[in-house]
Amino acid sequence: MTPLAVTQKTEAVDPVCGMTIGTKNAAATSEREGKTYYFCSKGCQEKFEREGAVGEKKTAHTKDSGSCCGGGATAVVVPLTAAQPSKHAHTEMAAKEKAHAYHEMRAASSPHVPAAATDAERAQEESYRTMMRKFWFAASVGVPLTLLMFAEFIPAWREALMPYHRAVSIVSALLTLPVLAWSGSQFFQGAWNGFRNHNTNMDTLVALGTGSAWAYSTVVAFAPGLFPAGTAGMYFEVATIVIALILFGQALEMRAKRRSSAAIRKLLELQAKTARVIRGGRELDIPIEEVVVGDTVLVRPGEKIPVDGIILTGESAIDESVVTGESVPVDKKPGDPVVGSSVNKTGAFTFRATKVGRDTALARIVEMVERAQNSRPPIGRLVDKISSYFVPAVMIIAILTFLAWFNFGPEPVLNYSIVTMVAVLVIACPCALGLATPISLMVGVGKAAENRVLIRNGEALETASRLQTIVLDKTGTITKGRPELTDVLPVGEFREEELLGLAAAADRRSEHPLAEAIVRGARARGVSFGEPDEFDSIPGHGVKAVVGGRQVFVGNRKLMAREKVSTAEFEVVAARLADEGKTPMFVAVDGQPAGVVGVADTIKEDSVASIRTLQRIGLEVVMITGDNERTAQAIARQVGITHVLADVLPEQKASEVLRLQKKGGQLVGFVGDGINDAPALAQADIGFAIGGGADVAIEAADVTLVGGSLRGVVTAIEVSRATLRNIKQNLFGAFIYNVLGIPVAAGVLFPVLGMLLSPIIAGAAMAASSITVVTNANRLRSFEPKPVGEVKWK
Amino acid sequence: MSGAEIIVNLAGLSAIVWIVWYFWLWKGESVAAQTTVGGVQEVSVVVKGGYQPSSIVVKAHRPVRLNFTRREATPCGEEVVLPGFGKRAHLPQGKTVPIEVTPEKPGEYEFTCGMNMYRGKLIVE
Repeated sequence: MTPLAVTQKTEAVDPVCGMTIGTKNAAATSEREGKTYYFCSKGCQEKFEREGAVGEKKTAHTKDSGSCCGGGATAVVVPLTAAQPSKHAHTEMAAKEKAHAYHEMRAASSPHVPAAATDAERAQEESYRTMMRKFWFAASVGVPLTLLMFAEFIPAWREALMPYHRAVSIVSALLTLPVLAWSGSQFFQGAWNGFRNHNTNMDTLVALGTGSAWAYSTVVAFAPGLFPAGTAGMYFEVATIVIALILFGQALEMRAKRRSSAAIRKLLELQAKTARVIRGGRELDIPIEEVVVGDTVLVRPGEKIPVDGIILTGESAIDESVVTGESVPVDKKPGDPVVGSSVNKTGAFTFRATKVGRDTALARIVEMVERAQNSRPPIGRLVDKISSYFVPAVMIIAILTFLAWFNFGPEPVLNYSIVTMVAVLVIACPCALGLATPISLMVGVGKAAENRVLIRNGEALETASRLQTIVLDKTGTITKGRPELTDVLPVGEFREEELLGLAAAADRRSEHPLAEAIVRGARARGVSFGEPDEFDSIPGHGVKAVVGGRQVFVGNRKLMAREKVSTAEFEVVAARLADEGKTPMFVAVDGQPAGVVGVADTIKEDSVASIRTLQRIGLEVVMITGDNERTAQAIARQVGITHVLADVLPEQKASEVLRLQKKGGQLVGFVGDGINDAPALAQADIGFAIGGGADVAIEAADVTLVGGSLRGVVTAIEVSRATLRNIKQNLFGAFIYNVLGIPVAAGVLFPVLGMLLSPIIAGAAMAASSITVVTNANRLRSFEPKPVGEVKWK
Repeated sequence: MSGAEIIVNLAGLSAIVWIVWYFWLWKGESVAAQTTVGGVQEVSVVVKGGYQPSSIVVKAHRPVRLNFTRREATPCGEEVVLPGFGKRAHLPQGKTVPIEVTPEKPGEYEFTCGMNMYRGKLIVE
């Protein structure tokens, strides 16, 4: 549970090879121009001393410089220009503190640069094409051989071919060999490599199956005399077609898998590609990867903000929906933070880059999602156990099948024994089992991220899907977390507008949140008000002011008592407001009661609908708050919660969660603010942190709701349940497939139905099974969070 | 049963015994990580039909660098996953890809290929 920020500060990027290393563990360091550089090895440092950082060349790729570490820091080629800022920037930067140095360098090693994605994709595309070529070759040999085999069933053809039987067999054997050697090379190589490691895999089964079919057939082709009459069958078409089918299946699977990782690509597409920076008084358009901390970046209306930073000059409205989920643009002025990938709507401004590359909010979201996609939920663990025994078990079953047919099967025994053994080897599909969990998890976590829900890992996803109770913090979670004006209730001859205008003018200079709420409320209602002539704030009471020559008091009951204003006329409305969970503020004008204004922390727009949905999908919803029972109950009534824990001090929230967990061994989720509620978030089985802005990747939480709305809790639970269901379907499918397929291939149906599975069908089934798993997982991609209030399932 | 039949049956049964011994009962050797000057525990792992070495012994609380090099064409091993650390890397053929983790708790952490067919483990002491 180390916060990200802390771990980052202990890492640096080797400027030569680009590897990320811990600063404490660097093999060597160098000082240059006031900066400390860290190296993974002595070799890198020597190269640095000799030639300087790679970034000092124009654009360097890690592969050019990887002599010391063999390759890049990650599997990708990363432009390293940012490792060393350009001359202009460098002069500016020299004055900056050391700490910044490796932050800039870290930007260089970001795995999330577009170049990286395309490189990996190109490699994938290439292996896809090779695979398809191998497939076509195998198919072009396999199909004629299959036709030839069918010819054997037509008496006239069989007789016509009879004289050439020997020649045809030998030609088939020779034609099949290159199919095995080239198209099937990966299976044989994989099997052999595995074998030397005492390891088995998918390839082992395919290689054994096709290899034994070919070897047997070849011996038959060249020396038919060795076999008893009638057993000299040949299975060249089996070997070739099985190889063709499995290659085709793997190629399709590769395509489908690419689709399942689409979520990350979508997130990355949100990024701007270039940034306009001002260096040395000149405007430069540079790729986003080259922006360094401290750069002054210029953004025009309609453009995307490239990195995180703080506004220097200019004002604008910015659409930050990418990190906050809030679609209404936010007004920003100098000194305000801006978040990379948000959209500048109205004005032009400049800002100072504070976080670039891997440190930006978006990059951290991407990193978090990737980590989650690669974790493994507990449900997958049993499968891991099974799959490690799977292949040898299938080999043993294949031998037993052979022996059973050999000893007890009908004539010609050898043919039946060979066919069934090959079918068993070829039908078994450990891939489907191995893929079932990770592929669904990848799609599910990605889908959640698209909906602004960041799930930490597979375990969190699985637990979230089984939550029974969910505890909602009141302030900031159910409510907006800041007071707002709700009621204006004049007494006597005062009109509503007049009362509010006087109260707002009196409160104008006050910094108290309640006073600010009144001022904001008056503005929102279009009530005009002036400046107070005199103003005095009385802590714990309220304000005294002179507005337009009239003496105005705005405050609590204590203020009224102090100023000897009768509160008799206020009592009824004040009591009603308090019942509704609102804070009554009394207003007196010229010593006479004028009215009451109600201020309250209001409920977020979709809280009611989200809570109802949570209840409908079977969760017990509990509200927890430090407020008194009366206020708490008032809010709870409005949102439809019956179970309320009031008067809970912040530090007691965790123990309340624990109490709920102990009661009936329930799985309890806690939804709250990531900072103040950290202990409760950690105590809960699943902590949902309501975040937003730049703090999106909240480390204490299992789930981070970027939108800040309770709707995210519904989405998180829905996605988790849908993903878990998908995983179960996949596991069930893959398991049933193997459990049914292997015995059928072994011929258990033969005594009853006289049915045998052709190894060709077995190969097709195998290819289909892993495609099915991937396709089923991709079904999750169509998951859309239902509008709250309409969730039907469960 | 003829002599040939007896031979076939015996051959089949001994093949089964051999499979059990060769694939299931075999225990690979574990290798202790070398600590570099900077305190990083470093191990090179060759990916070829499995991981060589497949068991790696390291110390807790200290960074570990696993240098994976895939030396085979089959795509099986093209991805390596460390589920315990949420790390995944693409391994281009013939290139060395370092993965760094810092295990905090002693125990066994697996690393596998994308389809979980190759498996290796990090034994943290």
